[in-house]
Amino acid sequence: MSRKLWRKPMILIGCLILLFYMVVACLAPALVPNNPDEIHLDSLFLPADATYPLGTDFLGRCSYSRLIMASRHTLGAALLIEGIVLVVGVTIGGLAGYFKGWLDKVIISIIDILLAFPGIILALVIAGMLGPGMKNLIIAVSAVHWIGYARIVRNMVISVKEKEFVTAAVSLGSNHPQIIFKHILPNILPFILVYATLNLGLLILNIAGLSFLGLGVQPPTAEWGAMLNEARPYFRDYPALMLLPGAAILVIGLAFQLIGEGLRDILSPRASQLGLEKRILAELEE
Amino acid sequence: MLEARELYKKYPGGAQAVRGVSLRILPGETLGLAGESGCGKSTLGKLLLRLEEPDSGSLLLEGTDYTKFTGKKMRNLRRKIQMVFQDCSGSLNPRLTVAQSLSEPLNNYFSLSAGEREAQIRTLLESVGLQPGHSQRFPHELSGGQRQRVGIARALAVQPEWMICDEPVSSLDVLVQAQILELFAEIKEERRISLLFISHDLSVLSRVSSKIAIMYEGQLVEVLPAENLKKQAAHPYTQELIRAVPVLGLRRQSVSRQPVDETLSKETPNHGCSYLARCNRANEQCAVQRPVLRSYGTAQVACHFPGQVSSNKTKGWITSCF
Amino acid sequence: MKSYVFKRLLQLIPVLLGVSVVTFTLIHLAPGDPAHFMLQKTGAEPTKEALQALRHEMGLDLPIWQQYLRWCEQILQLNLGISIKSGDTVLKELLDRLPATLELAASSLAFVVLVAFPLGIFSAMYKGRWIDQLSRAMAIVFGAMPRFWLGLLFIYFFAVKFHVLPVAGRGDAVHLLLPTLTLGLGMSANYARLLRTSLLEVFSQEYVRAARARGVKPGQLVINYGLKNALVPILTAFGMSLGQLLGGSAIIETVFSWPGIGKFALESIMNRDYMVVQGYALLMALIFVVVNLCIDVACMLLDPKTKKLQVKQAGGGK
Repeated sequence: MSRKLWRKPMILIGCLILLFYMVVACLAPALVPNNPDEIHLDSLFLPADATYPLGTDFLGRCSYSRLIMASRHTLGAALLIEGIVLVVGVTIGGLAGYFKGWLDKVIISIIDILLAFPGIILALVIAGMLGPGMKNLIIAVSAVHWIGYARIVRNMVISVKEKEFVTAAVSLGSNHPQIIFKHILPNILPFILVYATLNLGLLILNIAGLSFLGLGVQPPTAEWGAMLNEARPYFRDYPALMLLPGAAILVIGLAFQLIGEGLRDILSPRASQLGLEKRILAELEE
Repeated sequence: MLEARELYKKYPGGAQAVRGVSLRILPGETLGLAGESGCGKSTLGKLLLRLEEPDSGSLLLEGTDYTKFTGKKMRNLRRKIQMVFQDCSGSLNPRLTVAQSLSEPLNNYFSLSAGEREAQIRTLLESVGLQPGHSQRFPHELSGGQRQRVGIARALAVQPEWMICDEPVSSLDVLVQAQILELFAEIKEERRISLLFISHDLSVLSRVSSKIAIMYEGQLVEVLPAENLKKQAAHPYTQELIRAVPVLGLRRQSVSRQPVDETLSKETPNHGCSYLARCNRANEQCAVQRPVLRSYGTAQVACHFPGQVSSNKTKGWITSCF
Repeated sequence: MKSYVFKRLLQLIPVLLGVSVVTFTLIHLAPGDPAHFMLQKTGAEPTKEALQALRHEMGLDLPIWQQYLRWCEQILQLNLGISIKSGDTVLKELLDRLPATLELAASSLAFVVLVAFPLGIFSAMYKGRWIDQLSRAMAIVFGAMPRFWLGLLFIYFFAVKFHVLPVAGRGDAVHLLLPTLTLGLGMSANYARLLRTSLLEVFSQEYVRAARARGVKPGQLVINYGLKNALVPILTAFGMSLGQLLGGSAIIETVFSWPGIGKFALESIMNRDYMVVQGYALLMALIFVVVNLCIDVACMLLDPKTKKLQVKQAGGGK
């Protein structure tokens, strides 16, 4: 499968874009010409020049430096949340799917209850109640996103557990940990990773969206959504303040969409073998 | 002796899969279990290994009741009884090589060094007619017959005394089927293993079994020696099954022309014969009293009117009843 | 049929109970003492006695489960509390703003239907041709596009630069156009793809190939076989994305100063008017659950497979 991946131009382009973003985020402090948070009230809304490659914003801060630094906060938060929901979702969903019974019933009803709230609204309300701030934003988005993982992992575990090779493992004297880590996890891991990759795009949109509403990182920290929020009063006269952070989100979003579109073609035969493809795709449609 | 007593199993929301089955497999014997799809024969096989838990009834191995065994005791028991599965591509983990699949039972039951394990794997592969080179292949790189050989080797790895073969050849081509059946005969010969051989195909069963049990709707309706199958089958269902086996060179057979409605029998009431709706010799007694297995010549039959010829006087009763 | 609806209604009970617990818990997520906060709103630092009196009045001195029961009792009497900001009841405040949100949701939905159906059908009929590529590209681009940014772009180009449309606010149909586009474009591309996939799946079935071999025209194939079968997945997906429509409106309404319930909720969050936020979450969940129930029932009626199952079960019961 891994060799096939690179033959898809869409996946290749998507991954190159991602790589670019990652490199920028890692090297951000070395790439910025100015302190992104430093206010210069004597140089507001400057056009691009040698000192400020993309001009300055409404507080005279270097737009370019802010744009670059923001990548750290958006991507960092997205990766952190991804890690949290991956661990929580896979554990909970895996336990529910593997052991079934009352545990499964309890977990499923909790998921059903949380799904009664539209996801965006739940995140918005939790973030709102906890109050603005990056930590609260991470809690709120994680609280919503683990559900998808738990559901999909549960379903995958159930469908793999029904496979005859798991029954065979029992008859060969293997115990639960052996079955879970040797037979079930390796078979669903590729699909979890695919789902996680594609979900990262959604996470970035969610984080930016909540920050745009003023619920994420707080000023003066730079984050693309927050930068858009700050630019709102001024974008009619200075559209660049609004165009650039939005474009930054759009391009990384496109990278994930392209990867997703490419994976869809590749995954189909193998996933349908395990009856998983439709479930993964259906989950992602939401 | 491997024995099941009065096993019952019902799947949640589903039909009764196994209804009061008692059966014995004697050492060295091959018991063939036949029946149409969905009659509960696979479930019965899994119950014997406790891969499914029976609702009631008991299981005994050489007189020891293992129905309630757990943990280590059950693990040790499974060393004696092994299973070969129907779906040879589904019963092998697609992400493990042949060697890794074979290592699993070896690691679970024996403490072997890497070299010993490798030697064991080579012997196992050889004993099922595979090359040592196959050990590094993944299941999808093997043919159906080769996969089934791996499945058999895996079951043999723990040197079981009993083997339950759940439709081991039904997903294979006819020629491969013959080879695998040959392999089973060899294994049986060499290792003195007793088999429960489950198949929907009577012609397959008559080739490997010493005794044949016929299952219908979760119940055994007839148990008889394999060599007497054709001439002494006494239950109308067994007779129907035998007539339905296509024979090469025979142009037309006297199979009942009445279309079989497989959905009909699923709702049979709890009393009365479960074959009632499809039987042409049923009468009032069959509707109220469930027949149990009784000796009839060399066979055991669960029928109120066992025998070779259907009696004409009861014919037509069924139509007037409905 | 009746028994199915009844069963679904019964299943709703635990879900609604759970929803009430979650909503009740929400207010306890807020940092600090709500009573303290309410008194602070009025001006000076509250006295200890006043605080205690208010805590007692609000039931905050009771054990948590009694507080919950008390709260449930109030909810059942449609009492969602009082908005600190305006002093009006939360229910009235929310219901006042609901029509604006529903208006926006309805027009977006109409837009989605108008765009997605032709786009999806033609993408399936001319698979791999330009229209198929177009719908694919749309789905990719709008899937990656942050909606709030799309809204700002629209405002900038249509209202600020070319002055063809009003910037924001609610009024005649023209005001609806930009927010509708912002909400609807991404969704219609998604639905077009979904419709295409289901149509292609139906077209690959033997019975449809047989119909085609018999000479049934492509148009008839789409209508008689395709849409009938595609309707259930589309409806189910709609139930899911209703959440997007309701939730997305919070962002879109803020961008376009649309006086709807989402914008109001956001303002209340900023004002720490927690009763309103709580009421908002409860109301949205209720709408979401009820609409999805209706969709499930509709799907059941449309899908011959589930219908047959129902009949069989009912028959078996006799």
